[in-house]
Amino acid sequence: MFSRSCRSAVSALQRSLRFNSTNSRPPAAATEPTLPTGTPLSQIPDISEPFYASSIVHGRGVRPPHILPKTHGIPAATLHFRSYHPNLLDFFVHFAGHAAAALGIPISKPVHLPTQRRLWTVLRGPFVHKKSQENFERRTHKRVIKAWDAHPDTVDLLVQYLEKHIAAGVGMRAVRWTRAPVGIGAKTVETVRGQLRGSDAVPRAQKVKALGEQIVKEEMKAAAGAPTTEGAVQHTAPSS
Amino acid sequence: MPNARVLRDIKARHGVNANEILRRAYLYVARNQTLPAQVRFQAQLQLNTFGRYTRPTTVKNRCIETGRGRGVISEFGLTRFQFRQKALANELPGVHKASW
Repeated sequence: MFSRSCRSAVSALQRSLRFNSTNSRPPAAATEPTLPTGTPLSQIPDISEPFYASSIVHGRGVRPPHILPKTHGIPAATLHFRSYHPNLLDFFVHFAGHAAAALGIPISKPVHLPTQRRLWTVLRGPFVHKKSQENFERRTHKRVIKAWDAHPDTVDLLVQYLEKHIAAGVGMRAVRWTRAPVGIGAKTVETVRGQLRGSDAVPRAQKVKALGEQIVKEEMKAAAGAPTTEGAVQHTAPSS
Repeated sequence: MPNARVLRDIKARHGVNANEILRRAYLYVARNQTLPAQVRFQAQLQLNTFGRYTRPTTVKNRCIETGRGRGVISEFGLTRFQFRQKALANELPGVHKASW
């Protein structure tokens, strides 16, 4: 994604700024127009471009994102991120944190779930030589961010934004909490039944059973009636 | 041009897909303990008349590069040597030499 020199520069900068979150920064000079970090979009007044640009906290995009405080502690979403490349994953999770802060969504800090490790031991040569083998592995790194309290539309916006700008090599899964009306259980069962009816699985099993009964009938008739016929029976392919 | 055995495997997969329901129906009759013996026997005879390219046991995962039937790693569809070559050439995402 970045060139070699850029990568090391970015990682060096990240390392030096890792623990300097915007929460603990000293306030800017009185002369400069500033907005407090983490101001929700709705509260930012109509401002001109020069004013907004001069109010930007320098280095905010590189420092860890501002964690907004929870208002009620009601879970809204859980975002899972997985990748084979931990640096890329941390970069994108950092981006996701900033996106959530910009939308005014209180989030947790990124949590590291246990890394899954898949190992393959293969022979080095194409033929014999069992004693010389080589180990290959693939590590799947996982991060989780929990979002709280936000309006479902805001969370939708965040998820869509992240899906649109997802880094190649990172997978994201969003688990959502929504408020449901009374009577949702019965409706869900009905929807699932309808989907099952439309899918291939149930009709297939029914087809097998129906064919089976038909075969039984034919064989019973043949057994009860004249002596059994020799030779192969015509197999008709089932209509799918 | 894929291997002759790969072509046979492809034929088997198509055959199995086309005849699965019919085979299962005959099997259901042949293995059903509650039916009379003659009916079950007839169903089993019918089952025996199916060709080898309809049997699910004929299907085997083969290497997509070389067509080798043994030493195939299912996740990549490659033989162990092909897997090693591609892994060392960084062609398999996320796979690297293990060291711990």
